[in-house]
Amino acid sequence: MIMIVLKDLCKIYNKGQVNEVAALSGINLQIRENEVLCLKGSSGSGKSTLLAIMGCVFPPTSGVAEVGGKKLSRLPDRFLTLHRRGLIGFIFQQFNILPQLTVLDNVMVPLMVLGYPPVARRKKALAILKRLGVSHRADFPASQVSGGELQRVAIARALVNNPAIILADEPTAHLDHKLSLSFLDFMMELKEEGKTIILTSHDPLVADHVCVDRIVEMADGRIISSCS
Amino acid sequence: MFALRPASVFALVLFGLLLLDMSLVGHTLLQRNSQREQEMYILTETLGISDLCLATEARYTRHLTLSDGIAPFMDHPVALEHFPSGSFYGRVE
Amino acid sequence: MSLGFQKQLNILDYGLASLWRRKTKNICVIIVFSLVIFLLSSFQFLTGALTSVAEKTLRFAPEITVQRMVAGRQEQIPLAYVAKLQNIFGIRGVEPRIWGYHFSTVTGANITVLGLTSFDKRLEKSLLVGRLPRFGQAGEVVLGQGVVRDLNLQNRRKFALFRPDLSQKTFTVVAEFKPESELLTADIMLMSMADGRDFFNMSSDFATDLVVQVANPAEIENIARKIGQILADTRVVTRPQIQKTYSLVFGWRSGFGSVCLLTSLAAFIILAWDKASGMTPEEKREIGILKLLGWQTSDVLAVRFYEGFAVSVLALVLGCTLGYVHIAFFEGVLFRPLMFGWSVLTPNLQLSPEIHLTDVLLVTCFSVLPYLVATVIPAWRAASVPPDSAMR
Repeated sequence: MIMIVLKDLCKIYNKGQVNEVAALSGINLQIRENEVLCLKGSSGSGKSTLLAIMGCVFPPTSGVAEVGGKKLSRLPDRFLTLHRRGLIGFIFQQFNILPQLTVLDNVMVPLMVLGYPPVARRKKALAILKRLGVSHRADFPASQVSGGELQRVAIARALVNNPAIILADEPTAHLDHKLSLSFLDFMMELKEEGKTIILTSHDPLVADHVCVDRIVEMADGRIISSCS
Repeated sequence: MFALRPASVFALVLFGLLLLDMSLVGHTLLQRNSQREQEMYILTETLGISDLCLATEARYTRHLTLSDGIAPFMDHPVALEHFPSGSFYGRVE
Repeated sequence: MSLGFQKQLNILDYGLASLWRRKTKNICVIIVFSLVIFLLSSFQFLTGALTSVAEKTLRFAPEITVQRMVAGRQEQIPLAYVAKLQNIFGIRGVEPRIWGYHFSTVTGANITVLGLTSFDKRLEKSLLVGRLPRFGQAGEVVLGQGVVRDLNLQNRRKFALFRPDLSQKTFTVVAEFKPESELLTADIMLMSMADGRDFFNMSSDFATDLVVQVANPAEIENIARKIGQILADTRVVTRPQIQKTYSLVFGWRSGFGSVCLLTSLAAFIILAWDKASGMTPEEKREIGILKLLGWQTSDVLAVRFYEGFAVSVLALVLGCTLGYVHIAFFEGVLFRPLMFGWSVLTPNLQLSPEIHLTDVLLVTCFSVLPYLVATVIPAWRAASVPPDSAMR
């Protein structure tokens, strides 16, 4: 089954204004369910924009984007959000953890708007934290947790609503070699569970890892090569 | 330990305050002597009292309804205007 | 519990938790805000209670009062006027009375002197401690509690006051008005009309005003008009006018406007402070992250709304409670200087304020609504932060 279909996809920021930027042009890409894809490319090549479109953060300017069987092109923000919160888990480069909340509260944030009652969301969040080995940090303020642990918290938060697709933007950029490897091993684990995973990275460690099925290289908003 | 969610704590605090309010109101209502209140009207009826006795400093503050409009210097040797009660009980024409 | 309701509760949880994280600031906001509401609600409760007392008692105020005006001022009214009124059909009785003020140069008190031609026995039964003055006995008086306090009589029953010509007139206290009636009688010195004339050195052909009793209350206005025609130099005050005055007296000129203004002003100072320290880059980032994690714009707005709601409802309830306690248990002590001004004779305000829905609604409209509006509107702008802002 095809999870993501992109056809003639274009994204132009600030359309019609002086600072108009064409971030993506003519992207054609299909991603199967349970595929692990690595987007390679220098910064400014359009990786993050592509990831955001696949993550239903905003619709493309033109072309077709179909994620999880739904066309995004004309969907208003409200429905993008609804679609996003059941389907997609994000792992960000800077983790994007809310520093004022505790680790546990951070993981529970996506569950709150899904209508989980306190006991259920706590249970679910603790279970996922335990799986990632950071349950001992649950009641710590996120600002007092080390970088490696913070990334595990970020992964926990991405997984807590059990999404089908996991998007990771430069996940290893702030990690040392050992932590990067353990992250990739965990991605392997998720792949075995049937998740579709899309990573952006210019770290060769990621591209070379066994879990990656396909590497797509981008430059100037276009796909320049694709190899399995 | 069973911890209450913040919404419950908030509701409890609010509920407690409202309960306190109700008991305060109940207390004053119980203390209120309605017999006496009934009898107060006899005063206005038999003595012809026309006003509440609030500010007694001048006749235009004491008897709002019956005093004439020209008030300064009339009731108090140095009174140009009785402040602040004079502005508090404005004469109503 | 439905999913939607549970979600709203969760958002409320989130909002309350974020309030609690900045508890010092928010507790300060609640304290200042409840003080403002306290002032406003105290004022509402006080004027409400006074208006209700006025309404209950002044329903029985004199039906028609006739005063003689000379050069725009109230002067003595000749007793000959009484005979002129007696021919008007519908008048049950006309009573001349002495209604004057004695200014005590010693204490600065302004005593209301009331001299009547007859006393109703019902007074003695329930409202006096003692007996009514006898008409044969000169100098017998009934004193209000404020006058008793002012004269510092203690156990003495006799005292003397100066007449206008500085001779002394001796009085004997035969009764005191019961303390419960202070709101009407605190400054009253009740005596026979003969004593009143004697005290003020008035000629026996004059009274200060006439009280007219009317057989049919529906005819008050008609009879008042007739009196105005017959006695062209008089001012005729009717009971409906007196009652109307009291519904207006605690109205806009009574300082309520300024209290409201003060309230709004203070509310907006709080808000300005709240908002000035409001939308930091961190908060913008928080909103971006929340939206990225699946929160709708409306959910982010709801957080702000619930925060504002929690703060203002807590402040409202606290403020109203304090206001009620202030009026019901402390006699509105903070407003006494304002209400009584230079008065020396002041009543005890033993009021039991009634809680009217309209009062509470009014206080809510002037406090909670502006606060909510002012918290949610800036959040509107904030909530439009695009979710991808957290990705860059």
